[in-house]
Amino acid sequence: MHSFLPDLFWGLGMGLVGSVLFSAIGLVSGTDETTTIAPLTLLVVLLGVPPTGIFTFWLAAAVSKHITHAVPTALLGIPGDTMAVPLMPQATALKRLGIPHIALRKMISSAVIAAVVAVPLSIGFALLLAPFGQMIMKGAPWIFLAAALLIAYFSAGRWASVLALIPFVLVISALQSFTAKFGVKLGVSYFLGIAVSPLIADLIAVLSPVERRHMLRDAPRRFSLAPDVKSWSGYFPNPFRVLDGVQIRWTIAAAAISSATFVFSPVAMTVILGEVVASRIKHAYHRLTTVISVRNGVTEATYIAEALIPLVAFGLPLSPVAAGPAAPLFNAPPRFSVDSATGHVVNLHTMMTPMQFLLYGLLAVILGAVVAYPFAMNYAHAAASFVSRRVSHEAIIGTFFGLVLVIGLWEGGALGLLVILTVGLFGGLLYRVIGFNTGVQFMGYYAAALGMPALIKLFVG
Amino acid sequence: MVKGEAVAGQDQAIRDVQAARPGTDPIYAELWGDVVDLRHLAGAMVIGAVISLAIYILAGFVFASFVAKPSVAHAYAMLAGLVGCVVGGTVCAWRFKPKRQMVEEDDIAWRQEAIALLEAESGPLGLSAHLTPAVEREMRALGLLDVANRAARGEVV
Repeated sequence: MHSFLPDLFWGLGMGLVGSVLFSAIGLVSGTDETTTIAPLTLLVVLLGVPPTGIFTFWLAAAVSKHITHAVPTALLGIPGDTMAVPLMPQATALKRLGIPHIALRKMISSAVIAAVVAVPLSIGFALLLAPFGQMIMKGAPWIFLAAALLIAYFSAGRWASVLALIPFVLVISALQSFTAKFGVKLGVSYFLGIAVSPLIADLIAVLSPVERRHMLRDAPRRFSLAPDVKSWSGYFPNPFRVLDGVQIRWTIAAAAISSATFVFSPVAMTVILGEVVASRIKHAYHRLTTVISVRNGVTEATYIAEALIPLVAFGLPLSPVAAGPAAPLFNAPPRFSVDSATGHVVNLHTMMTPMQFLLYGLLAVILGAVVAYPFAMNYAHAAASFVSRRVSHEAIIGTFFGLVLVIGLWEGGALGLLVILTVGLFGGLLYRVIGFNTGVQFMGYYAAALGMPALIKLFVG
Repeated sequence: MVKGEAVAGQDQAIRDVQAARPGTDPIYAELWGDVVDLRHLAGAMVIGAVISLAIYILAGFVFASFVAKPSVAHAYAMLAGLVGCVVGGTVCAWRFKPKRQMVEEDDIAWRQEAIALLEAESGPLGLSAHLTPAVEREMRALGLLDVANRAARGEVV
């Protein structure tokens, strides 16, 4: 207990940094969680921040970004990131009714409620699953292969994604043995390549005269921004008054259900639970506002559960979120490592107790709610207007291009850049053509890194 | 696609581009979810690359000279490189304006159309047996109930 105060200090400080930083990043439409949260969390790990600081930073960042990414989703009609895509039909309908600010406020109020529900529940589920930890460690390579197949089947590509998984895993294994010849072992370069794969594929496609024809446009994108209406006094709104009783109950119920499912993609859970709720509410307007609230609550809860359950129970990245944006919490060599051969794990799982996960998890959610929630509720309109008038898409792409170069060179020199280009182009094209999304690609990476050695041992001996 | 077709396609694409946009007019294209001008995009990528790499490489030398542990110096250089990305992005944002067009929408027409669409999909939007008091209050405060009811009675809003 002698280290409780310094731990708390680190948790508070890093949580606040994550929350403020990612409240701002969330406003920029199209920024993917994996490209932004993963490298910065890796940096926090490598700089030697204590475990509680790393964990609170990550969760506060994820919660805050999730809150502010609702701003472009609701007000501009552009999905804030991939998780916001299932909310677009309701967001567009409410925008056309002239009340996008209501969509926004309902979305983020339910996100805050869902986050508070999800943290203790996912830690509870993790503790239930933890006794099977040893068994899971032994079978880890096979579990990763099975999880990759399952997630591939549930992606938009269905059986096409399952088949595409084979060449994808082979390409990654081949790249790994290729760089190993030069004594270079890469991790983040693969993550970054997968995360920006849609961008890399688009950039290369636009260079091809064949593809460019389909991408050319006659005019800039047209958009409109509705006027703002504020319905509460003071700075801090009360989420329980923004939603009505039915919406609060459904949000809590859906958050609880989705907290238990950690191997599926947040997008799939969001669609399914949204449909369940939609079928039960009769009035058209009420159905719209309730579905958008519940769906945003579900993306929040699933996201938290997908990171926390594998982390607290096993220390193995067994879900799309854990393998993607939360990857540095599991695997960040030389400080954190997951050894598939021995099942030996050194990461936050071994460094923090379940009680600490609960305490700092709630702290992170509270920090997100105190920083991002009132900010988004009060300044949503001004922020959306600033971003859409001042921040060009060219500038966003320029920033990411710089990020790819710096991270690639930093991790593996020229080899790092080659790996990002190869994985990015291959994954991005598979995504464009057959719907082999980034979640499946991340699981493919783990299947290659952890499952391949076991497969080779089985077949080649 | 056979080779001849591909080449013909390319030629056509080049002619399309040249015919439609001679000189220095913007070449709009949609990629990664938004519209850019391809010339500006090329400029932004050069600026982003030069600034972030310059800062990363420079920081590498500077930190290596006074931080004892090489791995820590390496990590600090990356942090500086990330700051460099943001600096590069800021320069690009200042140099290249967004290709988005703000339109003043006709609120009433949009609302009526949206209401009609919704009602066709999922039943009446105005007063109905399914409208609970809480929802009714909310819709009234937004001015939505009035519009929906008048639309239901066939009045022009």
